Amino acid sequence: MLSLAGTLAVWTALVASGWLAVAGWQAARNPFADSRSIAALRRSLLVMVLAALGAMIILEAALLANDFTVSYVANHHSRHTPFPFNIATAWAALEGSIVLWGLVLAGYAYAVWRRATAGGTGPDSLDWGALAVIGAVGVFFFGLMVTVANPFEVCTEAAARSCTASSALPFSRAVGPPDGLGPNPLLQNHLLMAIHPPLLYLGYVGLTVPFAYGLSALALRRSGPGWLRRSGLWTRVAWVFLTAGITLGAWWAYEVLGWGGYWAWDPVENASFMPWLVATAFLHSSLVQERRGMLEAWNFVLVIGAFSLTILGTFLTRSGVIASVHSFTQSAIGPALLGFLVVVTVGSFALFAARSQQISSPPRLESPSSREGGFLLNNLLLTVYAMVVLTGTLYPLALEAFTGSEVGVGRPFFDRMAVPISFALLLAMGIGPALPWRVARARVVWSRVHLPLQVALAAGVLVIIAATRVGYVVMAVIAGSWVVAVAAARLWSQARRAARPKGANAWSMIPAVIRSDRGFWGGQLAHAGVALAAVAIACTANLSQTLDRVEMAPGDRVEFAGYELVHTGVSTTRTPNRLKSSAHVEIWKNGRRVGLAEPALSQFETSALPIATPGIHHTLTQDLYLSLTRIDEQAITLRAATAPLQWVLWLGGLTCAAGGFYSLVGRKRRRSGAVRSPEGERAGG
Amino acid sequence: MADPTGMRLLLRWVSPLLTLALAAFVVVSLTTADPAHQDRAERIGKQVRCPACEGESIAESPSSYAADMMGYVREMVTQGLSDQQILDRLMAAYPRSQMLDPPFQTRTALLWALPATALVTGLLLAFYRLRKPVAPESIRDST
Amino acid sequence: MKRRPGRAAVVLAVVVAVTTAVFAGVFATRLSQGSQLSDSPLVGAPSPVMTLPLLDGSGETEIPDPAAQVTVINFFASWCLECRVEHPDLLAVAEAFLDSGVRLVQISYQDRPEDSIAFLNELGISPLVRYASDPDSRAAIAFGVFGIPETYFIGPDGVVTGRIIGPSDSLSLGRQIDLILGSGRPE
Repeated sequence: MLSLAGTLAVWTALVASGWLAVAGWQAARNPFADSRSIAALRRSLLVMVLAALGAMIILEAALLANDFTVSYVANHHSRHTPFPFNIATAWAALEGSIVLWGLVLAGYAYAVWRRATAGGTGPDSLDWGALAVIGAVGVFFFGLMVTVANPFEVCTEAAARSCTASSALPFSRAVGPPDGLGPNPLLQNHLLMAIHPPLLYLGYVGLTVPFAYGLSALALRRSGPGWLRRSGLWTRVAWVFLTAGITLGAWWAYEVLGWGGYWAWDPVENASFMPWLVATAFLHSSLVQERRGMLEAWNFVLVIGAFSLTILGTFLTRSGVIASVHSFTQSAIGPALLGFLVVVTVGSFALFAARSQQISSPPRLESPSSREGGFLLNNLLLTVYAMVVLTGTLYPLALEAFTGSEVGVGRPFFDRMAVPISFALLLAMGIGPALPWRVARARVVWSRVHLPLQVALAAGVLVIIAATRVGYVVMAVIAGSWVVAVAAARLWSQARRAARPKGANAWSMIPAVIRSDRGFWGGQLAHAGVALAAVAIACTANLSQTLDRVEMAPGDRVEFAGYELVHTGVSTTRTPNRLKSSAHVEIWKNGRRVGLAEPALSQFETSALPIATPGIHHTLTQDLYLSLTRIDEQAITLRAATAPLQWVLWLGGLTCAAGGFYSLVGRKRRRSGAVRSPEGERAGG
Repeated sequence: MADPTGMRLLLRWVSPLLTLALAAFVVVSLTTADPAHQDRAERIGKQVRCPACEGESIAESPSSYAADMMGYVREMVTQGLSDQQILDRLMAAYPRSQMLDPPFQTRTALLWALPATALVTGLLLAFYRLRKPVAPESIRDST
Repeated sequence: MKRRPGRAAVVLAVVVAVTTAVFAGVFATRLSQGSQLSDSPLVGAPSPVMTLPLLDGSGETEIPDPAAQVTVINFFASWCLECRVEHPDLLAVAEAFLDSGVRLVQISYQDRPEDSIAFLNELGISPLVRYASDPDSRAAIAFGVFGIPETYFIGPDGVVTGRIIGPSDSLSLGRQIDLILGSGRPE
């Protein structure tokens, strides 16, 4: 029953997105699009959104109703999966994640429509063209859902706990297993896992929209500020989600995976980080075009590149190519995504090359020491950064594919390359906002940065005297305070200038100054977030102490990093699908009991190796991170580590996202003086 | 601050000197600091991908198999073997893809060269293409 | 006002597009016929030589077994579900090839001895098979174990001739043994 409904919904969405692509293109090509073609476009869009929403709801319903005749439910769900993980199971595995992808894409299409039609000047062909591109992308993803990644197949042969054969024909005789194996145990361990993938998808899929506007502008020969402003807006939206999603992903890894780290440079993480880097580059270079009309060609390259990287990332993480280069052909989704990647990249760059005559790039850079020059440096660094991550991620695969030779590329490589680039970025982030547009005279720049520079160096001196002489930490503190201090100095001087004619207090002018240029100050807030994150990363990477595995019987105590850890006993809890053994470790400091941590090992019935859950004692200066490698009644094997200022990293990441959000909600409307409608605001934010 | 001559004096002399002094203090303290002590076994372990887990090195992984591998590394360190000897023995039966730190070799040349090429190309482009004299336009002072 | 954005952008676009296409093409053709099993540097190389304590503490066993034509090394654990699946086949093959000089050595991986013994008691023990423990995982490291079950085959010349990752069955075990006994070396 639900299989039939789901199949119908997906097919409807597929047809509707194809229709959207055609109707959008027709409306875009006709400069005086009549109300009939607009109405067709609107209808197809609504059908697509409703059908995509329907598919998701049906999938959730099948999960909640334990309908094991639906192949996805049989293979990835179990009766014992607790709330909210039964809901999150809908995107825990490949087919379901594609359904979520389709839903998010349809949501963005709707938001683009609302935004385009809410304004005063009315929508124009750029918007219709972008909707056509979104429709075409939708055809691919809904196409996946009816072919190689169909979650709504009918289970026709069942083993005890899984579905051994299934059919795409909804009227096949359904034989569901009595129960399923449930989702990957790692994904059932923490609430963050239910939140982080949708956020990441909102970011990932959101990058389709700027790409769609870019292609629309190229196809319609409408280069200029129109596409740029729209692409900039939607990149901000996607970027905020992507930033928050990456931060929460790192947080989840830290809270769940039990090795005390949050970022391993593994391909799944890199897949989300590369589009982030390129989108960040675009956010900056689009400002140069907006302000000075430069870099338009480069901006096209960036929006196409960011979208291509999301498809590449999806290919890397969803095709099985990472687990083994040989396993990717086992599932047809790998070749399908690879083909789509080629079509997107080759197709869009070919269109770009063909239209390059129409792309204007008038005024040249007057001086490298100017705001534009700063943005150029920023773009260069971010692009090289993305190139490093891309090369490091693909090199083992490419080498094996081309020569059969094997090589491993991991953290040592990425760290060696990323650390200097990151420091250079921090320094550029500090100097950039202090540079005026066009030409920066040394005296002006010096008058703006000398105080911040001294503040930053003084912060470094303070750290050296009071805390540590580890070079990376001191340099991160200096660079981070430099970024924040430059922004603060700009704020203060503008507030003073604003206050002078009115004779007002400069402090009281600060909110008004910020409100007058939310885009800039939101960006500065995001910079401050990056600075916080950089300091936290330097601290956790260089100041952490570890206690290598100690065996502890109940009653044993061990000294570590100024704490005393006491193992007081073991408790086990049994839920239908897992046996969780927790150790009770009391944490004492200066003769006082300051906390209790319960690191645990869970044995899931469906998984061979036990899953470790760390016990974390949070304090303001550092986390105490306890994890187990073995546990039984007689003894535990405990591993302990400190993570200095770990929470600052999460704060930094979320501050960064918040900065992007602030710049978004306060963006100026179109010049036409359109009155902002509440719906438009929601669609924009 | 409001006095223009005082301001100029500050900008021209006091401020650079203060900056230099602070920078000198930082540079001297950092260069004379004890080199960060890092356990040799830990450093070697960070170059080896844990076979029984995903993504982490054996030095970081909490899995007990990684612990056993680290124990082997520590034992060889106390025996006085060189880093390369230790890695060779530990990884004799594992494929080279288990190493996390790619070596400098001809087959990895592109790995190092590609990012460097991107950097150089970008710099050259920025320098030669974008820096051409332009006709002066009306200058809008903006901050 | 309209000026060409320069060839650089176009060249860049072409380079990116061509690279993607070539990469994808090579990827799709080269890898479709790949196999999954043979990428251990151990296969074709001399087997590690070591002495391991028996699981019940009653003595020691040598690897490879000097008295055997073929030594089959199998890593298992009580917590490993797929080891349960392959256990009957391993036993059957050990008995069937006894006369050909095949010796099965099962090594406990990341498991407590009492749990391994309980596992064997439940699923079947044969006097023809040696059961060894692996203190500090030295044997697993020497053989390059990723995840169990894993099975290795050592020929009379002490060279490792093959490896099975994941659960084995009578057919795959028999084929590897026949290859050694028949021609000395597979392919």
